[in-house]
Amino acid sequence: MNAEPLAQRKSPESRLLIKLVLFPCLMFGFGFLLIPLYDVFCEITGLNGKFDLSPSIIDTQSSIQSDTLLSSQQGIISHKVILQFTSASDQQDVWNFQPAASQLEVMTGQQYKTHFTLHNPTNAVMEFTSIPSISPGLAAEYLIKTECFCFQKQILQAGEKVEMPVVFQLRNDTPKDYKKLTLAYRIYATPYRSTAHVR
Amino acid sequence: MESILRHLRVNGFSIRLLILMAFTSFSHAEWGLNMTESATAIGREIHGLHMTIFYICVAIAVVVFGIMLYSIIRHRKSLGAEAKPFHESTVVEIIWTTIPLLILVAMAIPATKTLVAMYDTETSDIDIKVTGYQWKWRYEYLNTDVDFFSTLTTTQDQMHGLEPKSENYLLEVDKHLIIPINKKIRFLFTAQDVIHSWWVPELAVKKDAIPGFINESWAKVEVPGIYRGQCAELCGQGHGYMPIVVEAVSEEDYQAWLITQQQAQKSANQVSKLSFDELMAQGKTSYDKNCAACHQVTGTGIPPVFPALKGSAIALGDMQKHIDIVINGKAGSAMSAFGEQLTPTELAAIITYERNAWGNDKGDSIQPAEIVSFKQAQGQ
Amino acid sequence: MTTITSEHSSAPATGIRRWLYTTNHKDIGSMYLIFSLVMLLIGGSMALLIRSELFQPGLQLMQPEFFNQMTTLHGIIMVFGAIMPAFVGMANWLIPMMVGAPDMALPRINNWSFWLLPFAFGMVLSTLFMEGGAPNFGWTFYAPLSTTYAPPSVTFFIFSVHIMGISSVMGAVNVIATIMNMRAPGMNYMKMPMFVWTWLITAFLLLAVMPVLAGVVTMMLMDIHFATSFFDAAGGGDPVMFQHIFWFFGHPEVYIMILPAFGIVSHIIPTFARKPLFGYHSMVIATSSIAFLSFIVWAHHMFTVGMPLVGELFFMYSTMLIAVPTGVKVFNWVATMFRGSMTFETPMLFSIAFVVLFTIGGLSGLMLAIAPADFQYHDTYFVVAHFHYVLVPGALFSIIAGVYFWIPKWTGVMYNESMGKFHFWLSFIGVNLTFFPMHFIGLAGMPRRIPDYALQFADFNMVASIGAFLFGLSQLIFVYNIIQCMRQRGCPASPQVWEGAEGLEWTVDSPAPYHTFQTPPNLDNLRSPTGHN
Repeated sequence: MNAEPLAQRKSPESRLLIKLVLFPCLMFGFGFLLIPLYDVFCEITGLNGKFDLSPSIIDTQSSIQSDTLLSSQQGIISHKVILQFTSASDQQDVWNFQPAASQLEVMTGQQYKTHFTLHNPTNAVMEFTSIPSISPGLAAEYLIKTECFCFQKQILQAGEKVEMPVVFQLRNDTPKDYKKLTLAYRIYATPYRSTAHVR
Repeated sequence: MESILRHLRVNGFSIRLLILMAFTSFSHAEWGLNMTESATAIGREIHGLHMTIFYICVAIAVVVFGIMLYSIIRHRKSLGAEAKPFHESTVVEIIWTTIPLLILVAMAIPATKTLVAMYDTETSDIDIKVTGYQWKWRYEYLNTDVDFFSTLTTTQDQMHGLEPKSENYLLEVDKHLIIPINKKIRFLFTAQDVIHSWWVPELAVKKDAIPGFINESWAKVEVPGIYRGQCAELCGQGHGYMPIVVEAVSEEDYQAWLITQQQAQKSANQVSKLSFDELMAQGKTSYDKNCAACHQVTGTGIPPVFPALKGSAIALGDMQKHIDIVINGKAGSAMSAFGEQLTPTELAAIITYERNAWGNDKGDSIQPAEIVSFKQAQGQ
Repeated sequence: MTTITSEHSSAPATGIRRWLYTTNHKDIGSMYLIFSLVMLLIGGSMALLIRSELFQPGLQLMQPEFFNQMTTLHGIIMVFGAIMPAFVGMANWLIPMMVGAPDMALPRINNWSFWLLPFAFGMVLSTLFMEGGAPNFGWTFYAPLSTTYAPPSVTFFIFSVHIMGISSVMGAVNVIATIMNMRAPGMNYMKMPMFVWTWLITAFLLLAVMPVLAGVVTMMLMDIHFATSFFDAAGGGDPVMFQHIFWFFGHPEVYIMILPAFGIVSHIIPTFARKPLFGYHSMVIATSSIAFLSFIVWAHHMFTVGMPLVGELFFMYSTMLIAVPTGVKVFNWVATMFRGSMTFETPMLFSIAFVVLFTIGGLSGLMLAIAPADFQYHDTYFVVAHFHYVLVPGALFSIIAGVYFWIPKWTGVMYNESMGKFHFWLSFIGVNLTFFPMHFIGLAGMPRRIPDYALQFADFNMVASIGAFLFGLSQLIFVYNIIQCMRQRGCPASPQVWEGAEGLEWTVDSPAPYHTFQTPPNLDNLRSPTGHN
């Protein structure tokens, strides 16, 4: 190959090369960017019934009236929705993680409280995370939880039995065709290691 | 002499097998060619949609291949055909872009309608939570106590050709999923370990069961009958061995079944004392059904993934450790926790069998009652 | 073109060093092609093992665990080891000759990207002998089966996917740099042969998606070894996200395997119909729009994961849309044949079979795009039938057609025509016998990737297995034919080779000299692919 024409064309050529090398590098990064993008995507489309794992703030006129019905927004027409609860853990008959009520009839726009019971059967301190999921997934954006054990990791002493409350309400603009929703919690437990031991 | 007899018996089996094979291949008049007819309205709609699209595809193929075949036959050099070097026509290009587009719109309209109907979120009559396990299904009827596992019953001998294959080979389970007809059943899917997919063709329901998350689908079966399906997502070596059997019955039969189930559920933990021979006999049956897929009928396993039980330290060692691993499984391995999947009687039989079969000859045994107390001790 | 050899006398080195150190595009092209042939035979043997196990119900030859390893390796080897390297090999041989360039733009990188492959696949195959066995989670390696529940060899698998990815990306960079910078004067974009066009678009697809694949396997690696939870619900991850990222790579990957095939067929059909390709411009536009659409259809592989209605509808519509440009291509090929003066040499036979069988695969693809019906098709043998129809009589037939078409140019010797035709008819019958019944067993309800099946699927499985052996063994004729050409057994080929062949590669001697177009060719007498001068 003649050296002269090559030298003349070198600059645009190497610029192209740099672009061609940079592009795959950017796409590699894009692969990782897909994860936050996916979360946004899930939030918009309700895929998998994923939740934002942080408490929502709503105007609680927090006078507890009854065990289940906490408060209600007046003046907006609300409708009835059946909300089911189900739970799962690694070994369900051992951990005995159960909802207090298998289903509630709730009115939209009103706040309710229910709880799940959990028993640590092992003789070690356990730490667990709860992963919530709702079906149909799109309903996730209408369920507002003000108090939930899924917001952070929980620690359970050996043999301890707890009742874990969930305070929630369904937004008033919940579409009318959602007649029945199911809220599922899956518990993943690991032996607790206090922060002092973490490297 | 004995070996000759055994040999003859095997031969007898293989002859019967051959006859059976010949018979089945002749009697298979229905070489299933098309999508399964469905027992639900949605399923029939899907079937109709499938047929419509199929006919459209056939029509397209006939036109395209017809023209092609015509020019292959007529425009060949050996017949003296002269090439007409036309190579562009904007009008033609526009026509054959527009027509497919219109056909696609015509396809999309019924498809959208069916899809919207499938996503109906109206309330349901019965809700069943379906959990995929490696490699079995668990069914929980929400708002009742009914909760059971459904496991393949086809024997290892059938799979390995040592006995003739039953009619519903690989599509038979110990406990059917019983549902009433003409009721809207809402299925909630999740999985314990890896992704599974619950599929019954006649119900036109296929949904992935994803660990940690929940999915839903529904069916309203109109015709009573037994409908069989399989796991549709690769979930490990037992993927082909976790069938689904749905039995649609009348409302009265369903209610009666529900009551007997609830009673059975209560009495499941009531146990009686069994002799060593009874334990071994039941142990073999339960072991072959629940354990042999990995640890093998001969107890030799498939090391290193599935360890041998024959001569293993656990089967020949401390009884409590043995009970513990069977009931609680081994974290991070394929060994699942059988404590919730099997009854105390089955667990005791399996453990006794593992300690005494294949020349393990440990000589000890365990009673179902001890399993119950082990679980109670664990639970407190 | 006859002045070339005297001007530049660097003859190939001799012995193994010629192949290890070569920077010559023809040598590297040959190595790619031979490598992919070896991989085709290895992957094909695995397919035959799978089909033997499925010959009749029951477990006869292997344990389910080994069956899963076979399906996984068969997929990986065929996709990354056979089809893709074969296209890269052809690109190496043909693109410089077609655009009138002396060599690829980056010859050393070219050498490196080839020599990475034997190591990558050596590593993949070595997992068969590792403790815990080879990867067993399918070529789509869905988490968590491929992370938490995977055999230890998964780490080697991930590393070899990284190496394959680097090799593909470098190959793509090379192709783009060659096409953009090294075209002979007067060879503007709209005069480029279709194979060059389709490869240019394929190369951009490769650059865009291979890094995403590298990203997703890196996440797997981190989940397995560094305690992250990208795909583990326990730590706040999501296994479904794996599928999204994988198919964001996976769907363009499907077109990476078919676009160069479109290019090859667009050369062969005009040659043997003795008239120019119909609708060159619309072919280019159709190829580009297929490439664009491939980025927004990925979730049609996941209709059953529980997407909301809007998502299902979007992916259904966008997938159906792909039928339009694909249809345009098929219509153009038919129009090219129409009123031609056709002869039916082996490359033409394979190309006609390509058009017919690829169209069948395309139509079943259209059926699969219909989301409500896909709930019944998904993960059954219907899908297996579909993608084998587009990959075997699609991509593979186009490669075989291309090899028969250009091998006289590569070796200087005509292949044995009657053996070629015999090979075609056996392959054609074999491929249909294998994959057509799979439509039926899929519709009847047989899921994919099961080592054993219920009795009602027995008959068609037996037919498919017989077909598979027919197809597999008939490839030995192909191998023999190639070896005969390489050994120079056969009639010497003229530079033109085929009466109707058009393009720069047919202006050089057969076999093509070691160095071609060291001075740019004069394009004045060359008819451009658009049909104008």
